[in-house]
Amino acid sequence: MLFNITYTSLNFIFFVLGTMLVYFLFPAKKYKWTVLLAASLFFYAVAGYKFAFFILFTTATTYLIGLWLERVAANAKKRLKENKTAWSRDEKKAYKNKIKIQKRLIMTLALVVNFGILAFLKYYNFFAGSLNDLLGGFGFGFSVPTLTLFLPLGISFYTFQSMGYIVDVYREKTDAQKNPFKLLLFVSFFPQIVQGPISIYDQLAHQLFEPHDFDFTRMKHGMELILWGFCKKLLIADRAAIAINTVTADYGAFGGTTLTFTVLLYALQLYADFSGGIDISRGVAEIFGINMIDNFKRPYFSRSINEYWRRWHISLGAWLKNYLFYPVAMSNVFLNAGKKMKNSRFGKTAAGAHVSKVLPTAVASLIVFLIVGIWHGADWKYVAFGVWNGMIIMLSILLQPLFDSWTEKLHIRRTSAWFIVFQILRTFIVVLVGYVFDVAPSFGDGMATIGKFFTNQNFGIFGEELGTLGLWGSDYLILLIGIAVIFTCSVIQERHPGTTIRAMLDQKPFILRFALLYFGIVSVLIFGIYGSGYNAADFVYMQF
Amino acid sequence: MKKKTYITRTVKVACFLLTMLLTLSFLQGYALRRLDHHTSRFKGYYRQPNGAVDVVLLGASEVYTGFSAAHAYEKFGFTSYPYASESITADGTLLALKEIVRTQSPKLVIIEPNAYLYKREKNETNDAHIHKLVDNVPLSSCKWDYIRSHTQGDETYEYLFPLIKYHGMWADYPRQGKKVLNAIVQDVRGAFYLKGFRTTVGKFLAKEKVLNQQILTENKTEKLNPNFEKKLRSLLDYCKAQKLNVVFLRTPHLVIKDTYGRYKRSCRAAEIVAEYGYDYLNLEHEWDKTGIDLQNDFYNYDHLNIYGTMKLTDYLGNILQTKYNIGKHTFSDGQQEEWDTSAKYFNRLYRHCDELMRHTKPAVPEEDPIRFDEDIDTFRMLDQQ
Repeated sequence: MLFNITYTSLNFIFFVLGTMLVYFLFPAKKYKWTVLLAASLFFYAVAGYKFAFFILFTTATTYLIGLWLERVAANAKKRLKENKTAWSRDEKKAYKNKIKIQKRLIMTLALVVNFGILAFLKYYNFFAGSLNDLLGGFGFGFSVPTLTLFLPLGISFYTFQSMGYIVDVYREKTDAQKNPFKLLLFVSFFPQIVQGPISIYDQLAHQLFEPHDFDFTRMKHGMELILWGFCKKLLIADRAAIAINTVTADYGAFGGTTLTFTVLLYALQLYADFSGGIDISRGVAEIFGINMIDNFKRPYFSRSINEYWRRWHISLGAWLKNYLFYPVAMSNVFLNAGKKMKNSRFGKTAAGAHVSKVLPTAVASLIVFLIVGIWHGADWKYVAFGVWNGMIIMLSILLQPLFDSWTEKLHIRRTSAWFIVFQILRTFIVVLVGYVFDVAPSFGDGMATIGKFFTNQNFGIFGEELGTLGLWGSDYLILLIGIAVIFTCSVIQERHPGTTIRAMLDQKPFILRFALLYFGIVSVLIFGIYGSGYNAADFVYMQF
Repeated sequence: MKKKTYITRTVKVACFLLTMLLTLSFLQGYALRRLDHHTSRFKGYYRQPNGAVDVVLLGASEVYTGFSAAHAYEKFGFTSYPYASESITADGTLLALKEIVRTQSPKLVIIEPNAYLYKREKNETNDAHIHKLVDNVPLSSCKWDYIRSHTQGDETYEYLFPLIKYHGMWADYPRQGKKVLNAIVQDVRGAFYLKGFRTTVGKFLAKEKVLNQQILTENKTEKLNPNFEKKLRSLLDYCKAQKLNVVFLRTPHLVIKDTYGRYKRSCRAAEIVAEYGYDYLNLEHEWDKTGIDLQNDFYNYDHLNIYGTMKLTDYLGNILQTKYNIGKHTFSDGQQEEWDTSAKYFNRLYRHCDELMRHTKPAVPEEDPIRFDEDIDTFRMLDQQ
């Protein structure tokens, strides 16, 4: 990093203000997007210039392969049109299949090259280490060398985003971008490069290339969203991180109750950190007239783990659903396996009929979440995190009829408030168990923590340990107020899903809006975790 | 209608920005900043109009504890002010000198060279010591040059916007509240009567062997740390370039085994200063000339108590008057009344300290001794005298 330009730094604020000034005063409307491109390249150069080659390579391969795919499709259409009468139906079908295979091979080339780079940089050492452990276990003297590898800034996010574009071009859902610089802007757009959201080309690209004039309301809303992001990140997430880092630095020294508290705190930190960062990204984009997807929809209000993953990191979930889940679940292998089971003896039973119907979905879910786990990091603990979530989703799909029958037998009304609260709490606990593997330094520590949940709860020791976590009573008070504010806002958002709190605030008296903005800014300035007096944390999802 | 909307919106935005600006100024200027005797001392200095100060004393804590500008004024008639901060660094000394040149036209600048006498360079990077000076220097080209050459990255912003560094002080409330009140009262009053002076009540009982008698008859030297010598020469070059009237002053200390090396380095500094044609009043070496009593006039090894202050001020004032021709200040701007009041307050402070110390014997300093400086408690006490 040439200098600190993280989203919560003063440099970033100055950088955004400078970009705004140039963008809105740029005389050539048609080329306003070049200002965003220049700003994105500047941001990337400052934040990770050493690895700029990787993002340029991904953009170049994405650009060329996108054009190639489009040309193959266009040529095929042209040939089919030319031979409309000359070719028989079977010849046409054979030609279409040939083109389909050719296109699939071209797309696979892009996926293999780009995901290959990501996998190599992110997972090589993990696999080499695991292989060495395995070889050592069998008494082999040979070992695979490990390498010093660094992850380019945002590699997961821009790789997923650009490969999504390739699949869309392959599926002919979108036209290939003819201008390489426009594609570079789509891949490197600075508000989303650090931690997403992972945008779909059709949804984002045209907004980036269209010229946007200055709009007061949009700027106000964008700044309000940025402020909300700053509040979540600097007041809550980074404050909670102090205690979490203290515990993880000496993990074995803390009792079960403190570890339980830490996991709860982690749930708060992760949400405030990630959603806060996304709010900052979306707020900045909104100022420039670009609406990015909201990555979170009150995930801790989810009534099932399935729903949780539809509300948490929505853009990743959508990406995986579009480009991984459906292709896997709808693949011939899975569909045939389901059919085979349906025709078997087991498939004739009531349970068998259900299992054979949902098996492709259930197994595809497990695979998707295994990949989600691995995406989070090269460590067995992340694999465990993915498998845990995948297993729960798989079991919930497979056992759904059983749960339905229990609900019926127990005369539980699904719409009752108590049952909804029960479902929310149940889902939250399942989510927390998954988080244990995130917090724990290793898979073994994660398993030990789960053991401690049941065997090592002691509130006396917790009271003593609470004072050693690096936070004062006033810090805990700020966290509590933060939770209360987030909870209140979340309830309002749940009740008014069609609008935003910012739009609702516009209808309120000026003095109320004035006071809220004033106290928001002053709270961040006074109580925020920033500057050398504190050791502010990086965004958690930046590492993924 | 559209015009009306624009006007309303502009007024609202302006109101908001103004409120934020005022809040930020208050937070950065009072509520969330380090407020101590340094703040008062530098505020007091910067509110003096150009030409109001005849002599500026630059240096470390020895300066503001060992010399009373108010007493010097009363006795000799010249005006003076200590531009000094605790354990000032060598780079800080140059910044301070540049600030003095920028803001005043003193007849004489007295430089206390403590910053150049350290054996190691640890003090140069001591964050607290740097901030005690730099935070209190208003933004100027000198300060900007200093920040640019001494900081990088986010640290630069911490010097420009101290709120970034000190916002965590909200946890110091309600203790900080009293300091804020003190700072506001001072600013409202607008006068800094003690002229940056600070004293601690107590007579010091040295537990280690004091070498002051021994050093009277010897003049050994020890090389300065090469970097400090370089910095000292840079300072002297600057003095020459600016054609400044400068005198170096080493105040009396209780020299012990641990600080004997520093004493010898001071003697070496005197030689370097002499190379440039400037005087070096080595009162650490010739401490006896000041009339200082080693038993009663210190409150620790390095600092004088108010008895020592009186003696050093008298001695120095006399030299300044006779040798450097620093005569009575000619007031033209109604400042005399303030200086007269300063002298009155200092006399009261002396009497009060004397009452507290007169019958006490030298002792090991208490952990939290009685201190007097430019705060409301001191003035409340002095007003009751």
